[in-house]
Amino acid sequence: MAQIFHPSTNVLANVSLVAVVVLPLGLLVGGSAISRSPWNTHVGLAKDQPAPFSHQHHAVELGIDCRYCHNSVEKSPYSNVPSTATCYTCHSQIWTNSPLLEPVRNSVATGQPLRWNQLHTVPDFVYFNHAVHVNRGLNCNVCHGPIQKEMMTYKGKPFFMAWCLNCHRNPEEYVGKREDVFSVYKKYQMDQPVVEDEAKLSDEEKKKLADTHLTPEQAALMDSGDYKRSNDEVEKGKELLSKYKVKKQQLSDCSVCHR
Amino acid sequence: MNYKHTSIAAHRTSLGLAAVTLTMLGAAGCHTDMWVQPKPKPQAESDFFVDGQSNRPPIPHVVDRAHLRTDDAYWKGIRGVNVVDGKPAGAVLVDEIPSQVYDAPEYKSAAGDKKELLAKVLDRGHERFNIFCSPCHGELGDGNGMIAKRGFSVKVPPRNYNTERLRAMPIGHFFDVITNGYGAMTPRAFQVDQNDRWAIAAYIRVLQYSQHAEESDLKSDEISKIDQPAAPAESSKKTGEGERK
Repeated sequence: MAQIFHPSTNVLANVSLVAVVVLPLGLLVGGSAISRSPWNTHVGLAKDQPAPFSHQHHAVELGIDCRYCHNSVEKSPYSNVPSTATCYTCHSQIWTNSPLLEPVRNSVATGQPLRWNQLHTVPDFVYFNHAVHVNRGLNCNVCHGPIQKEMMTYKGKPFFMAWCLNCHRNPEEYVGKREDVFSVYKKYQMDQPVVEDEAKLSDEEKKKLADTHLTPEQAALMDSGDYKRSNDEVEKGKELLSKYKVKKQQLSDCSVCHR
Repeated sequence: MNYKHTSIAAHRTSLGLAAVTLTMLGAAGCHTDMWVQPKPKPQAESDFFVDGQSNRPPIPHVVDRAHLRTDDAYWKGIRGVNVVDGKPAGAVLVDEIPSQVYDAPEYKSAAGDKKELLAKVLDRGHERFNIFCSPCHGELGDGNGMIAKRGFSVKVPPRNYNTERLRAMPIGHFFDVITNGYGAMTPRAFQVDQNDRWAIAAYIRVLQYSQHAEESDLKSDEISKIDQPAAPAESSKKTGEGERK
């Protein structure tokens, strides 16, 4: 009786043995790499906009507060993109001949808003509330990355649900003081050295530095770097949680964001 | 050679499973009716309204009957009309913060002490002033803000609040200017809330006091603090009390 399998099929059998392990693994690793890459998340990719607005110039070089333009961020679920009337508060007087501002002038003249290309979106079944987060002391950069450095605005963080949950499960690692949210940009503007060993300073020295110098955590935030809070800082975060009446055990319930 | 058969069978099963999973994932990816719901979202485009906007402007000539703005002192900063020779000659401006401002929920939590309430309003005014006014008028109100330095002042210099004329002006004037604009300054009612505009107007008076303070206005321990950076909230409270008298 003739052999059913040619001897060369041994190789096929061996290869398939390896492939059973390697192929699913490769698919998994490759798939997750693709889904985390900017190709999928659009992180770090600036889009063309009707007017080339620079956050770096307006927020740091000129020192305009975020809320001058995004004036609903503290009181509304939606943080507004400013109307061109806001641009015109200054640009009715300065850079009035700039061709880059032609679309802004047209918009003011006709009342037709600019079509900015949206960078940050969540699915329509996610109900994100800006005011709640800002009023719990979360800085803009926590979600938007180093926005104060951006010449062209881009998406700073991938907006995965796991990334939301990371904070919602451990809010004491991220929650901050309400008054620090916008003042960090003034400190960033002053460009003072970061105080590393704050614990060694006297209370008076601490007080003086607090107004002008970024803490290591804030400095990391300005750089979009990750920061691991020390135990003391986590304890302070827990105090803030009770002050804000945040119920941690309910914070990762589905219905918090999906309604 | 039994093991060979099993391995190939296992291989086939896993391949089949992978194919099914991929197909399901693909199908799930196409299913976007929950991701993009046909509802108007803030500042989004709309194919329903003629002007293409989800944000709806108020309908022309509509009258808001539930919130009629009848109180001129609060809404316009005006409490009457000057009469010269039997003819109206300009408005009489309000010179104190209207009581409606103190009734706002964000100030109400205070114990009800007038001084404490005023301090809260002025602190709020301080914060809002630095956000919305200081880019042009400067944090001292001297008309020397960053935008002024960047070229605004070449055409129309932003106003310095510390002139005789503006120091004599009732705060209703500042409220009116923020609300309706003045000269090169565009109206800001769309940007700053009603109560915040009053808080800013009151804070402008604080700035005017601060820029004309005499040494005799200070207590001795305050004079010794002068070289140190002062806590802004503290100084606004002090001057605020002066204003209330």
